[in-house]
Amino acid sequence: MKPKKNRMILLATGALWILIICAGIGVLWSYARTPGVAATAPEQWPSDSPLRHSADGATLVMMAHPHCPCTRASVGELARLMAQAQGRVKAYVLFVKPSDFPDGWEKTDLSASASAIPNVTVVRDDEGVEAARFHAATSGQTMLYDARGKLLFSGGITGARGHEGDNAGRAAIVSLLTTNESGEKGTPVYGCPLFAGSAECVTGKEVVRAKHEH
Amino acid sequence: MQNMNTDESAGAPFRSRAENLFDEHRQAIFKRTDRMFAVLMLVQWVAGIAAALWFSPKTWAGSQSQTHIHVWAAIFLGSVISLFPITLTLLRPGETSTRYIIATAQVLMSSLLIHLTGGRIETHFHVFGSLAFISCYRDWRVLVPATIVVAADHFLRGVFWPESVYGVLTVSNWRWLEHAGWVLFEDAFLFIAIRRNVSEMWDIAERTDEIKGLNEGLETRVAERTAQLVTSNEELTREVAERKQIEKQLLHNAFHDGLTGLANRALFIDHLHLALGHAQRHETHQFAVLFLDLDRFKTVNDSLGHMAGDKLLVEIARRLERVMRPGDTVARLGGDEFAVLLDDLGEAAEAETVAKRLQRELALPCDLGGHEVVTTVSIGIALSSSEYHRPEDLLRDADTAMYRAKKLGKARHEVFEHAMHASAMDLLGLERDLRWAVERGELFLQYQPIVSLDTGELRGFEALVRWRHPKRGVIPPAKFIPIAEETGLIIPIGKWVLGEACRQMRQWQLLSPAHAHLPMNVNLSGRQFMQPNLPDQIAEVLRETGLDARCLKLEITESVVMDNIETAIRTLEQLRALGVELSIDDFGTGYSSLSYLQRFPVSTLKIDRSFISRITERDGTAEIVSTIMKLARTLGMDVVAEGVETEQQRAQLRALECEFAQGYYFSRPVDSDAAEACFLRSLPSVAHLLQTESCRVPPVHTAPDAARAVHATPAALQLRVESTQVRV
Repeated sequence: MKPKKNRMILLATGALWILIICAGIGVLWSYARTPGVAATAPEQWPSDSPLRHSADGATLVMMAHPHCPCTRASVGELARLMAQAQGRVKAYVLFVKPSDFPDGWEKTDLSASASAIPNVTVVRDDEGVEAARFHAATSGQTMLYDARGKLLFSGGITGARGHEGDNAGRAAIVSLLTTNESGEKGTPVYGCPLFAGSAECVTGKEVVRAKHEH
Repeated sequence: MQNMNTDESAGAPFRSRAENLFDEHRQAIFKRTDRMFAVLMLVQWVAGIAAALWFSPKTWAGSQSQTHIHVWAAIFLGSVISLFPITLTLLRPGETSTRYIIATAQVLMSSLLIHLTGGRIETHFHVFGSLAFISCYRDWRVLVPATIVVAADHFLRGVFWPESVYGVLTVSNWRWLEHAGWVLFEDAFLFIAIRRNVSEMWDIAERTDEIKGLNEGLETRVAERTAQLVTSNEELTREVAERKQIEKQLLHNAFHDGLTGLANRALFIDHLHLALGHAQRHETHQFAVLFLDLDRFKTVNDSLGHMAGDKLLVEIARRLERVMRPGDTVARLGGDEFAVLLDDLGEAAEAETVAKRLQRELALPCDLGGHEVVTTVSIGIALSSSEYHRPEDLLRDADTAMYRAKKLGKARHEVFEHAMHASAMDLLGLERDLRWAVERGELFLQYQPIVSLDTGELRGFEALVRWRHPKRGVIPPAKFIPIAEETGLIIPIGKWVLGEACRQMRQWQLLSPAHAHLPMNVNLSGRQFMQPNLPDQIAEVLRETGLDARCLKLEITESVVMDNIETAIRTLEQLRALGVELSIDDFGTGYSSLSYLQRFPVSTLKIDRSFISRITERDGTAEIVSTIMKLARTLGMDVVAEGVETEQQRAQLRALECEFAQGYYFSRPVDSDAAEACFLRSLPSVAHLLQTESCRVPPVHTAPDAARAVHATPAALQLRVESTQVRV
């Protein structure tokens, strides 16, 4: 009887162990799947922005926190997107720099990676002024404007927090650039809040609601 | 059929050794792989934390930051994934459940790492690496839970987060098939690899089993052979020990006397050799050899038996050892002969002092099983000198001196002188020549008449043997008979004498049949008498010569008869059965037992000459002779007086009514021609015959005999020859 009892104990322990792990992974999934605050991007390129949109083609703007680990995936996806766009788009990546950090704080491997992408211009956004003009609140927020400065897309280009791979945001932008068609006008943004004090996460319902508002 | 799933067969009651070997091997692999995964889990856990810290150490909100949830997940979730299988590895190594948990944990760890690294495609290789590591168990069943975890992960993702698995592109909707395909491919590949590996393990187990079987057989044979060798070695060791003991004993026996434990002749000679060498190097060094011979040992041996004789020898040996100095050598040379080497003597006289001390010590009474025996010893002493170069010479001379001591009365010691050696050499020469005397015809017989004191008639002859040496002339019997007795030559000599006397008597009888009843007296020595086939020999001689047995009278000394009475009586009766007459010679000098005398089938007693020579003296001898004659008459025996030399003796004997006599008074021993002449021509009166010239031929005998012959008077020859007697 003792071996059977031992087996039962082992089985129970194993099951508990699996449950704990599943729970942990579930938490991770939940975190990864929880998007940031989506921006209500201006429908027209902000006129007061020192940045100029391309008159020949589409212009992409991505807001990024220079130290956000989740944004590494967004930059990676941007690189793939730019490659797939084949020069049809001009891109700005704005790295928000809070005033309470010294110069150079914003120069991270993330900014270096972004700088290395062709047709991408990395811009330091002191105090997040430009981000505010574009109503962005979450790192990884990406917006696409056409040559006339009209908003074509606003959202994230990663499928989850910090996860690279096929996602609806990148697919939509590539589709707009290559076929002028878009399935999705906005997608959840997975990244760190660009500004302190802003809500870090919103529920899935809020994202859906944001999509509808958009 | 090979059993790939060993755990099911672990509890089988009957299992081949190959199966056991296979299971042992696999169990070792399981445990080894468990340990490997335990280490690997720890490494992955640390690596997960490092990856989390590297990729997403913090999460930011503007200028504010906090530790990223990935770091906590790496720490806590990583620990949950790792520590359980590590614990099982420690508590239940090699168990199937442990393997399953480890495989599950390993895939979960892959999942965690992929998540922590943001789902990087590169990190997905970790899954394949994990499956490859899991295959190190060489148990395809372990792949099942790992595959299930992967499938479950993808299933759940597909349900709740399909784009993370299938992508968002239209073509990517089938990517789950691609995922599953690659995983199944990996599983199939690993399954085949494991099967082949397990198959090889089976082959190895079977070969190992075969080799072990052979090895066990070999070891069994080696063990058996070793046991045999051990046994053989023990036997050999025992045999070697026994052989060494025997060799030691043989070596001891080679140099020691078995009875007394004293040194033997070889060791004595060796010590003597060393003493000689020392004396040759140091002129002042003196030593002596004492040769001892017990005087009455034979008497003790014969009377009390050989056991008592041996006891006496042992007692003598102990006394010798007790008396002698530690450096001296005491040896038993054989029989009752002992030798002592007195080394490093101060002066020669010390040897005699020691000899006297020995004689005193050995003369003390000795108790032999209730019998107190007193024995004396004769000692010959040979002193060292520069003339000696060989030990044997010294021993020989000591022996010679001992014989001299014996001759001079025993119980004394004599120091060797060169004259003794010459005498001994002389005797040796005689012995050598005596061996050839019979063949060379140097022996001859003389005959002494035996006459009747009443009538003076010849009543027979006594045959007496003589030796005419080609260089030394006639050798007296007293000189060569003892040599013949000692050397055993008395046997052939006696046989020759018997044959010659019988032949001669028969010849005379043929010449004068009227005197065919006269007997021929022939002496038998002790050695002759003890021959078991003596009656046959006598019968053969009588048959060869044709002599009537009644005409042969054998004379035996009483001491010979008394030595072994029962045998003697039996021999005498056998001889008497042949018809031969028997006579006791030298009666009165030995130890005759009167109780036995009547049992002896003898017809004649011959009174010893020592009584006759003193018969005229007033010392009682005449009474003794008278008593002997009365005894003989009582027993119905004839009496012959030996050694009658004077008229007074003859008259005295006559007065005592003695019937027969022989001696120089009547006739000295004469050769065959003279005796024949007397036998034929002087009949019936021997006195008449002896007056003739032929009977006057001087007999060939020794000087004393010759002197006595001169004294023989004509009056003494008035007897008539009626007998012939031969003395050997």
